Amino acid sequence: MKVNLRTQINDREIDLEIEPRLLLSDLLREHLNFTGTHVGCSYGVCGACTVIIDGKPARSCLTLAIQANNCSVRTIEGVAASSTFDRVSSAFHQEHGLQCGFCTPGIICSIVALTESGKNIAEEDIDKVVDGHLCRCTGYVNIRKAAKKAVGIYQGDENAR
Amino acid sequence: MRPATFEYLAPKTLEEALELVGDDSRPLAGGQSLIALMNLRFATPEALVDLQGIPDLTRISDDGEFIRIGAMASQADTETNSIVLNSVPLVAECIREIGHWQIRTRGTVGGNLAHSDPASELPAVMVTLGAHYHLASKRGERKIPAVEFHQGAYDTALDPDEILTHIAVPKQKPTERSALNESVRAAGAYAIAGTTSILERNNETCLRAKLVLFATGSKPYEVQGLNSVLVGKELNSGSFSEASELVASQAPHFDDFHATAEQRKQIFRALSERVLQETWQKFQVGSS
Repeated sequence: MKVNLRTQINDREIDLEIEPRLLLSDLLREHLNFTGTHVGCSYGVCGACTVIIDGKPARSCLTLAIQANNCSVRTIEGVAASSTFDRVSSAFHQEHGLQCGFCTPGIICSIVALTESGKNIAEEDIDKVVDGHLCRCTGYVNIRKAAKKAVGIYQGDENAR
Repeated sequence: MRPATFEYLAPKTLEEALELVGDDSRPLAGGQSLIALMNLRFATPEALVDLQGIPDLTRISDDGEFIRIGAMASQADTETNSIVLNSVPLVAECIREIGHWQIRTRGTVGGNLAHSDPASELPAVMVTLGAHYHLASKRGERKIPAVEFHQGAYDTALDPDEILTHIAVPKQKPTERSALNESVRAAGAYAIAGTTSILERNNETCLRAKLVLFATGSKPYEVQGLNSVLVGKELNSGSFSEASELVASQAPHFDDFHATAEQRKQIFRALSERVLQETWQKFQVGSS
């Protein structure tokens, strides 16, 4: 039996009849064409599918679409349209924080959620956030630098380039 | 993989939810374990009763003697809650070790406990602190000590028509301190071995000691005979070393792909000595 989902995704009002078993990640990718949300493991380990639900980072593969009823969901597409994104994307560019890019949208959603949480961010917080994402090519050294630069606690090493 | 089909039910009150849960109609909390199991088709419930629409279940309160944590309180909200941080600091310390932030934003305290994963930290902490779980069903309410609730791997005292509503954790006394440590292969991964402890003292003398092992065997295990090693003695590293030998002698001995029986014994010896030291040091710095 289908259920009615009303939610806001990237400032778009959604009103859809869906199957309860539809995962949020599949709603985003298959029904709404927000394919920037990547699906890696589909059981919560890799972090590629991380989106922002009501301001908090969450795994869209471990969230039923219907659990996002009456919520506000932001994907990388929504994040990219926000004012905070320029600083984050420049930091990832300058510090070579991505290579193949598969894990990047999830990492950026987490970093943006951390920035917007209003928390006074320490280096340790960055590590805790990056912990929740698997990267198999870029390496965490550059991702950590980029993330720290994105939140303004690292200026970058000019001599390194 | 994707979940098999199921019926989705979204009650607005606990009473409605209790009408809906039963044999193959299972409560859905944060879904951070259940949906993974459903994606892999290890779990194929006929119906899910989503508890997220019941605001009462997320409340965290202080009734003077106990901190009451609603089963649907998210782990992320609980670990930063000032009541929890001040009165049951071990709960906050423990939750920071569960999964990742991105999991804890949706994962709930009650969901973790009802899942009863033998590698999970939280059941062991609740056993250590002597918490009680409050269960509700159409037949009425009952409360059960944590140690009786966790019956085995993924096995609890919950009947199919029952819902875990909240957990009552005794507030830390000024004379008590507690700590947790574990051995993991990578941050956020499942623990290979873990220990939690609580010490109560009068001046420098130990009044009560409890140490619980997790991530080995099927449920949290309270080390037996620890009081006879520590109680009445002055707490120092010598007594902790003796206690760790007792732990090593009781730690389950089995081989698996994580560690051999001998390695496991050594890990438990080291972890338990360390966790007792850490607990004791918390008295010295006056922190919680």
